[in-house]
Amino acid sequence: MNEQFARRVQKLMKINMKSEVPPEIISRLVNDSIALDNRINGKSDKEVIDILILKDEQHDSKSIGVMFHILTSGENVDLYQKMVRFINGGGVDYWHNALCNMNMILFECWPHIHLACKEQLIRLIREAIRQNVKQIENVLMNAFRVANGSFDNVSKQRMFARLSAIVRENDVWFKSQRTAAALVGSIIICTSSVISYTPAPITSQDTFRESLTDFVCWVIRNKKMDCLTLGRDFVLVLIRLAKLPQIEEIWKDILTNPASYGVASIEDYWGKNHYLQHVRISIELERKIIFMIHSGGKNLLIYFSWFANKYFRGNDGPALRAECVRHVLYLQLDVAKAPPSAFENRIQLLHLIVSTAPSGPEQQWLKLCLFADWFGCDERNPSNFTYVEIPLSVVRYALFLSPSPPHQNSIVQSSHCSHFANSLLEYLCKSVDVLFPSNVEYIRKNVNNAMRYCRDRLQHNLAQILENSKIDRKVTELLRSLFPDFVRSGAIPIPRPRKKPTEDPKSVPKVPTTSPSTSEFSEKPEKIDKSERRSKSAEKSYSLDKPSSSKAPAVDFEKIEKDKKDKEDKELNSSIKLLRGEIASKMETLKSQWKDLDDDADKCETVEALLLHMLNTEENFDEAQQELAGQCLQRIMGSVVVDDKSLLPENEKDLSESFTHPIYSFLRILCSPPNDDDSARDIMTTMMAAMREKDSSLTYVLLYFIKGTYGSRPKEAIECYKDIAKISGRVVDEMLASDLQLCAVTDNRLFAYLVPFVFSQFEEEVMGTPALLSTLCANFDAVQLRSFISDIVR
Amino acid sequence: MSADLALNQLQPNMSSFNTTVIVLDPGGHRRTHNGTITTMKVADSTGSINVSLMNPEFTETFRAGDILKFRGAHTTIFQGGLTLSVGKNGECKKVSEFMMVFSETPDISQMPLPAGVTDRRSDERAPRQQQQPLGGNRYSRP
Repeated sequence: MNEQFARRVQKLMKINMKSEVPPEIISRLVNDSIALDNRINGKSDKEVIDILILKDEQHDSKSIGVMFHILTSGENVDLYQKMVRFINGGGVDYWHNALCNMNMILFECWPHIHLACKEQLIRLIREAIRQNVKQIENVLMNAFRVANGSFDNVSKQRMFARLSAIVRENDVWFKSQRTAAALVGSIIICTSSVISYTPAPITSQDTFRESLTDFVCWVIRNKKMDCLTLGRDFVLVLIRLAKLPQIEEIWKDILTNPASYGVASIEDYWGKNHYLQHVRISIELERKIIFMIHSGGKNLLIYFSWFANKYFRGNDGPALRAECVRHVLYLQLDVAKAPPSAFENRIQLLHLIVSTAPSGPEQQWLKLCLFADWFGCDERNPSNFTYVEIPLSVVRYALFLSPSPPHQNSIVQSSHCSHFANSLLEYLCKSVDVLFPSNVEYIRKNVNNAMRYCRDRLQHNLAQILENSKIDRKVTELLRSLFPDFVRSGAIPIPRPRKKPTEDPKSVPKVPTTSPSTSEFSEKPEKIDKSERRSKSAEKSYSLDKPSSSKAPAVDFEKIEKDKKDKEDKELNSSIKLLRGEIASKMETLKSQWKDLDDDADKCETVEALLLHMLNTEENFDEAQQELAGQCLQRIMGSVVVDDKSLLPENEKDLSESFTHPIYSFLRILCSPPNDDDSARDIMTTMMAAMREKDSSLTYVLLYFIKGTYGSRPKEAIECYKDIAKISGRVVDEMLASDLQLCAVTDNRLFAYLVPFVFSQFEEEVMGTPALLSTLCANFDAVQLRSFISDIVR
Repeated sequence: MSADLALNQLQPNMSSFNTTVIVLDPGGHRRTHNGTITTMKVADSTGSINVSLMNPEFTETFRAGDILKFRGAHTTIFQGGLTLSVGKNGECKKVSEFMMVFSETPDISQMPLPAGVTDRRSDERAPRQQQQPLGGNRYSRP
């Protein structure tokens, strides 16, 4: 390699040329500087300026060459001054070129170049401000932004000290900037982020934090009206730095003189979004975040561990996390361009950023950043609703996440589970009363607005979150008190009257300690009121709004059924409306055709066609859509479990006519997706898990289908069952116990048929599972039990 | 300049090819009488593989997430698995970081070798064992 090239690269960045290729932009700077030197060597200043302003093919190349000399002239004042003379000689147009190049350096080279080079760039910014060059404020804004993204704390502090000094010494210029809302926003957000993690000074010489705080306050006082652009992020800044006396003064100023800030009260900040979230983190961070969201896929955890290792390990880690949370929340994902997984990746990334932060005040702060848009969800500003669904999706993601085995390359290990979802909801509930004590009702109303919007968007999925069995009782109580319209009172929810109990009442088990859901009655036969199991008349006593009880008045069962059917139809219609693209229209067609289809074969064919379309669609068929589609399908197809009729035919050895219901077409594709495609299997599993939320008998039907269809080689199909358990947020043995229990209650023949199969295929899971044994003991008769114990003894 | 080969196209005893990969596990250095051997785990979008850098002058440690460009690489069989090797005449340079899509599976170094391909070193240790001819030399996967 050319020695001159290598030497110049070394001037810009620390690099081992034997093991590293310099970034393309660095190579370009160096090559252009060499080309420029060849052209201007031995020329007078006037001749050089003429060459520089000559708009030939090398015009850009020459200006980049000048930039190289600016960056590398830290110890050569003459060279620096000569280059500034050249730029000045080129006039306004040439300064514009220089500004473009400065932005290019900030965007592309900043993470690579030496601290001295960065200081040279700041020096040039200072010179441009001194000369009042037009649009230098944009470069200054970008400088604050990239300085905040640097992972080297020493250089970060130096950069901020210099940048703040530049603004202070050019106060006339700063105050005269009329359209500088973005600059003001960038300064306040980035500088307050640095202040937030800078420790209190120990010695009197350490004035860094003090001077930065003074600087931020000075900016706020001089640009009061521009603070409104920050919306609720401005309140977040003030809360973050609230303990500092200077910021306390700002609080007082806003409270006593809000008109000078262009607001009527602090509520006006809460009720407003900050649209320039992207100027808060550096380009380097932004690009990596976008890459993770777009292409992270299955490796998102690994990418995140690299990302966290590089940026979140220092003192500034928590502050950077907070910036990233706000940035990711507001990231605009283009539905047409972003891959379908991007939406789910965004949720996962947010979850990782918050859940892997050190617990304590730092994590609490991240939770506030995550839910800030809920607290400010003022219905007067419709755009407020844009960002409220994502935090709830993070809660949902955490709820249904099961602990995964630690990855060797990952720093993220088993730190995220449903307890995190609980902590998020608890934080949301508890913050309402303390965040804005002077107007608690305003915040309470806003979070209810946000929840209402989420309910309209998520429909029945909201109940899966708020009434999930994994939510602690105390959190449920908090949710119930904060969201009385959305969380049902402590009553037992309504079951689907699917089956008249046929067993002897004595065989009905007591409530197992591992009982899962509190929301879906159909999932928990064990929680059905005992009286319901004991008599048919009691079963009819369930009402839609009240829990069953022996004192419940007799109601018209047919009317309830009709109301329920209407309600289900209504829910189905609204669910189909939430589906997107061609899938929505096909689902609508399926729904309308369903009753007209003659027999099961036609129905199976239609369902299969729709499923194959879903699996091969190129539309954005993300996880939420998959769940919706699954639940729509489940509602259209109905349940295969029929009252008083066992799924098992009279002749247990001939199952050829058993699997004709359309649901089996679904199960067939689930267990054997076309071309053995993993992504198809993932989609089907997600849909199945969503369907199970509505009809928990589906999973024991799946077990029956696997046994009947796959015989002695059910390994892959069994994996499907395990995946469904995982997605449903349950342990496999827990789901097996729940399925067998339900099966025992609704179809005791099938139960006896499935038990040996379950014990042979789930050997690991059934060992040492009290819940499963309890189910068996409760449902076996004396002879079966004796035989079972004898087998164990043998 | 020849184009980059994807990892799933690698076969035993290939030589002088180029490839671009991302480091999953930077591994470590091992001193031998010939110099230093660096072992790493790398991947591209088609799978992952073990790498041995056998260059005595080369002591640079890469980090997980670094994107490396290998020039003049060759494949060897080491400990019963296909390994990507870069020797004295090869080149290994970091060209970027982080932003490369990869897949950890299949782990090409863990895959069974095609019939007839054996680990020469283990053969040397067991000279009586009859060597199979390299029939076809196609690196097949299950």
